[in-house]
Amino acid sequence: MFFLLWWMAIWVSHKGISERSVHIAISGSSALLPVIKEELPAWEIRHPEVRVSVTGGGSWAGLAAVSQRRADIGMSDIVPSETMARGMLGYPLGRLPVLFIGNQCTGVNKVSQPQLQQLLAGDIGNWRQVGGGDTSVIVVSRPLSSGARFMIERQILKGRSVSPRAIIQLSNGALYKTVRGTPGALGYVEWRPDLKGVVVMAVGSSRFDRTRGNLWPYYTEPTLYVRRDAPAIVKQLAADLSHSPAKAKFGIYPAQP
Amino acid sequence: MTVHQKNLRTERVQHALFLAAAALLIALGFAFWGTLGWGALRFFLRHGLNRTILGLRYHPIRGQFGLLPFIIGSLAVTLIATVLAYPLALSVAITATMVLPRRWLSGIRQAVASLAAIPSVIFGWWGLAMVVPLVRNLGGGTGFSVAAAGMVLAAMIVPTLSLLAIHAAMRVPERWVEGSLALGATPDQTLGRVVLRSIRAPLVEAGIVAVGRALGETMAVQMVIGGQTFMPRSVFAPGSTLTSEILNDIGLLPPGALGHHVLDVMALLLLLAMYGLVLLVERIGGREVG
Amino acid sequence: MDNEAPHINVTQLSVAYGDQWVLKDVSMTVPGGQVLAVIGPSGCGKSTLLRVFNRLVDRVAGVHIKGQVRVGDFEVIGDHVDLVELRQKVGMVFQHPNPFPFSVFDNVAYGPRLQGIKNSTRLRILVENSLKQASLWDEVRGKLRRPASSLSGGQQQRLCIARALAVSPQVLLMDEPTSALDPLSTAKIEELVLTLKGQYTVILVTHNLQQAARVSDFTAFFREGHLVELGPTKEVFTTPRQLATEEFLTGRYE
Repeated sequence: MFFLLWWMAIWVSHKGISERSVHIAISGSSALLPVIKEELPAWEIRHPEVRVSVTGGGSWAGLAAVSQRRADIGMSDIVPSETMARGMLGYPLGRLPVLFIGNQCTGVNKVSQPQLQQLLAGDIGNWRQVGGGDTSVIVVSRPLSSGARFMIERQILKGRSVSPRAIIQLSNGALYKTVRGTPGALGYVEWRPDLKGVVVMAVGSSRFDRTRGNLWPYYTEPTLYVRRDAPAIVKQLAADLSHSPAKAKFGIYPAQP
Repeated sequence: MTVHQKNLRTERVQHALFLAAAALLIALGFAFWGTLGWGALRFFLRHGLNRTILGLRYHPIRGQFGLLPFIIGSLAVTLIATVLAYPLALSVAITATMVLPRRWLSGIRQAVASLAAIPSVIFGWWGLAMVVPLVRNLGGGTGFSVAAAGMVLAAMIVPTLSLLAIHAAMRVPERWVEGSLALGATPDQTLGRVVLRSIRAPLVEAGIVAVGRALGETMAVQMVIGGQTFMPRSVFAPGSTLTSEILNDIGLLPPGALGHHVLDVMALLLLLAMYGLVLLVERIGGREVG
Repeated sequence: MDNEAPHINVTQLSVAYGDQWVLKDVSMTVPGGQVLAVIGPSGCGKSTLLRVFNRLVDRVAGVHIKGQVRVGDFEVIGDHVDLVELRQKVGMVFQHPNPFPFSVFDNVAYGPRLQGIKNSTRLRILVENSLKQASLWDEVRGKLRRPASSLSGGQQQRLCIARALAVSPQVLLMDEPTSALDPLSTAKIEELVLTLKGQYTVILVTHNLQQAARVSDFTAFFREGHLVELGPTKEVFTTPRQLATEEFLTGRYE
């Protein structure tokens, strides 16, 4: 009986697909999921013939899925390698600032870029060494798959790795909560408007100002990637999503001031 | 067509449906084992056991695939969770079935069962807020540790384990309890020498099920264990388990990526461990009480 | 063995579950070393009476007991009675054989082990003697390590008797011990009861009137919580003093 129902459900859903003839699969960085999900319902109403599915999985997975034709649009805040990029078109959304946050008891709210590099790499083990209290530095990082980590290892660590002793948190939210609750913790988060209870570090002469977030020098560039040979409707969707007004709500600033 | 013929026909159709479902399930199972096994086999042939299962260094981007720290991590976390959860669950079961009035039992069972349905990410957040600071105060360090993961897991498996233990305890007939009391045994003696002794097998079975659950749990562990890829120096040091490391790296090593097969190997190890546990359950379950 | 089988004195005993009185003002005496058969229709309170003697009745929530029960000098009713001591004195055999899911040996040794006997030679002698007393030894010797559940129903019941005897009680309560058994097993248990007479005071609740007539010295007839009549079995069966007893015995009741 159960299987009969199951088959009926499949049959009905197939019928649904045949009526809406185009199916577009989006996959990749979960940092972009909120923006996409905010924008998509309205877009689908405007394009009733298209059905869109969205899955996470991370930037790397998104890029791989597009180049292997398992998805139509890849969400990524990692810049693809040159060989990979050759077959793809990118639709950048803007800049997503990456902020360095410290636990409130470190006694430090400002570091130089070399200090930041040594802190993240694990070379500086105590906040005393950068003018703070006598507290061990605990680096909190995202896993290797993270776009924010990719940017930091390139831009701040100049190719070195984040400290191998770092605590790993999978999501931006868990990382933020870990830094807030762990004495001596230092981590980095993609900017979110609700950051509270942590110290947002100034780096060198740069201080993050949410009204002029696009001046902050550390950011990822979340981008939607499609294959060059993709149908027009896919490119249309990527372009529309990349111009979504919902971006600002989720901390994505326009690339140009 | 008579009703009888109709019934017969319905039965034949149902039979065919069930057969198809079973065949599908078996095929899926084989496909799953096959895919993982093939990937893992190629990986072993290429890297050798010493640099995989027995290796100590892990950095998949640099081509280091040592998995021993994760294997040890999984074992340690599971052991801690089981050792902490078991006595607790046993006392819950005994209190529910032997101490409190019988009419409370179904209420308690419903409450415990609903606890068992809490999604693991909730336990993860709870662990982050409560357990990690607790471990930090107990053992120093960051609090993100094998011990914290074990404790969060313990909290997760207590409901399941309690439920199984309650079911086992309910299987003890009242006449054994009365028989024991009538021989001059105290309630405590009756509990230890008749009740617990007579349900030893189902209790061990429940323990193995709980071990399986702990071994396979992913999200809650990942959030509190710290995610370091070294051999943990103590239970209060950060580490990783096979599951938490799969979760960390699945985004980095999607199917088709270089090094993806290390995840196959990890999954296969878990699958084999689970299979071993299932065999163990069957052996114990098949044994006669007594 | 200081097995002086004691008298049992019951004085104005009433028992209620909640506000339902199941035994009403019962007074009686059971002479030591004799077998008392308790008969009566279902729900007459005979099982409750039995469970008062070893206070297993305490397990029922909301039970009230009034009156006095003495086994020899031992005061059975009261808040500060040592239940362990009482139950060592007063053993019980249940309606359905209830051996523990252990071996034959461990079943019989259960009571002695509770009393702290660990010496294996002593345990073995105790187990052997108890099994002999329960006429089971010849059937289970050499099979003591087998699970008790491998025995037949009648053997299991005799095992339970052996288990009770291993504690060296003075009184044996038997709650319809043959109601779940076939005629052959029943006969064996009845024979056994006859051999226990003298050494133990036996109270046997039974539905089987022939059984009461065959094995008991005294018979008590209960109805609706009242003790209607108690006397030597022969007299009760041949010349009952109460009309209700006669009606019950002749099958005109129930």
